[in-house]
Amino acid sequence: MMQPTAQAAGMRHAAAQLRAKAERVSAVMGRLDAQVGAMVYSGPAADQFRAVMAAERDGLTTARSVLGQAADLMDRAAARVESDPLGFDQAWTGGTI
Amino acid sequence: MTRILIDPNELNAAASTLGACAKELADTGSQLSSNVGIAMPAAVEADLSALMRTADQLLDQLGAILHREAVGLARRSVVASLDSLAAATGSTRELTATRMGVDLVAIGVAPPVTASPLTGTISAPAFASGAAAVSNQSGFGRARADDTLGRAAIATLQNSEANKRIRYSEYATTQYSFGWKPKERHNYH
Repeated sequence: MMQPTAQAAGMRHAAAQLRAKAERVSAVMGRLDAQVGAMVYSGPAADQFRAVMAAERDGLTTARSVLGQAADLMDRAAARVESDPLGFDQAWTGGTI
Repeated sequence: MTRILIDPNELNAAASTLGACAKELADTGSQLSSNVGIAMPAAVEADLSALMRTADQLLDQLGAILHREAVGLARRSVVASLDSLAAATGSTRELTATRMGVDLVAIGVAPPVTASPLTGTISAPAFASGAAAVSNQSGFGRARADDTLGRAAIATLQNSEANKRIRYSEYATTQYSFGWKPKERHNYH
């Protein structure tokens, strides 16, 4: 069975990776913003394109938030494992830490 | 009056950016499974799996939208190039496309022509299969980063003869050029 400290370290590593993925999503948002903002493209199709891209931005914001929540969950779980390495408290769950 | 402004080069660049962003999202989504495989309390794993599924589905959908928009921009770029050439030569889009070797049906700009015994069967738009392949690549834990067909569809559109020739042809110097510069035209001729 894995040592609690190793388990906590693994979860913190996973949290860091999830945050990195959230950053990648942010980078994509920035790149899209720059691209769309710089375009001279105009007309009905351009309006539609910009509306789609605005919705895309909202979706990316949500995705980034979900990845951030997952990272927070892992960090909280790691802290819980570290504070209770022998697992006396069996009642806790990841979502209610 | 509605003002319409289209620069095929700009649409090309935007299509490339959107295509790259779609791939980035696919890469990010396909790597999520690595975060679930580590040792953790069961209750945490359940919550994390739920969040990962949500993120994965979102990234899938957003990537598919970006890909669709990228192909749409690339297609408009080709059409704008063809129309520019057609206007400069007093021709039509269809005739110009034929002259430039652009298959309007294959890139989804024109509907498939009804099969005729004289002309034979015309294949379905190649582009459509690429888009479908991307949108079907969903599901947590699947590898979706290798969007070969989707990228090929965009590349085909962007590298079409019409787009190449407009940059290097004499027509680029006309008032219909939408701002292109007649660079390296001698390279083409």
